[in-house]
Amino acid sequence: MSLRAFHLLFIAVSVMLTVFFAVWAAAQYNVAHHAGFAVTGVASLACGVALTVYGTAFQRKTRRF
Amino acid sequence: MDIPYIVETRPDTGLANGKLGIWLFLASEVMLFGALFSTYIILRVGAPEWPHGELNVWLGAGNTVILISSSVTMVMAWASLKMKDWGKHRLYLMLTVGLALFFLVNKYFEYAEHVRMHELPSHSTFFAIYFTLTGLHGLHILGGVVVMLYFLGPGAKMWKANPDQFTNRIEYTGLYWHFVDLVWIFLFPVLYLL
Repeated sequence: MSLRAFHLLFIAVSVMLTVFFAVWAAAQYNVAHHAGFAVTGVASLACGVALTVYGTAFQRKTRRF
Repeated sequence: MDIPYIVETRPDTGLANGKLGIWLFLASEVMLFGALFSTYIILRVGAPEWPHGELNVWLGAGNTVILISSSVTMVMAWASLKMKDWGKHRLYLMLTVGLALFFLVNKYFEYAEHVRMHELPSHSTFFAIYFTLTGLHGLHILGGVVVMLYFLGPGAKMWKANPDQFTNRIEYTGLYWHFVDLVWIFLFPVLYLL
């Protein structure tokens, strides 16, 4: 496996982590009703979207490597 | 005598020798960390109760962002070499080293806080496995920093003599670095969230 392929795999796993972290933050918010957890959840999902956009762009731009 | 298959692929494996070597090494690393993760699962399943909220989630999340960013800069360092842009390669590799050191500084403060609270490995099973897993991971980060500093220093000479071999070496370093980052992607939820 090349570094390019491993990087794409790594980004995919990182996106899964951001979703998991957002779910964890939502669960904490349901218990504690602390706004910080809600912000964390939204920020984590935003990071997930940013990583998805980055991964797609990386995949397209490095196709010839 | 020239060493064969350092740049071109070997017909029988379909890989350059260095890539085969780094993947064999990473396979041994999977076994090392796999054994420790298994130990964690066995200890946790067998424990009558397991502590929650012992670690600073925000520091852990910050370190996760740092390592994901460092994987991006690492792959950019390699991609820059593919595009023959030596200046950008140096910049991205230095950024990767900087992010790795930032991670280690954060880890130091996290450890210092636990030591101050007398939360040492002898304190509980949780802290024993926490220090073992994160300590070993931290040593791997340190190892990666040493390798990258070598390629920023004396190892950089190879770029002029054999650019393709140098590019391959940076790719192998990147594979190792991504593996170390991937271990943290699993460590963070397991230790800090669950």
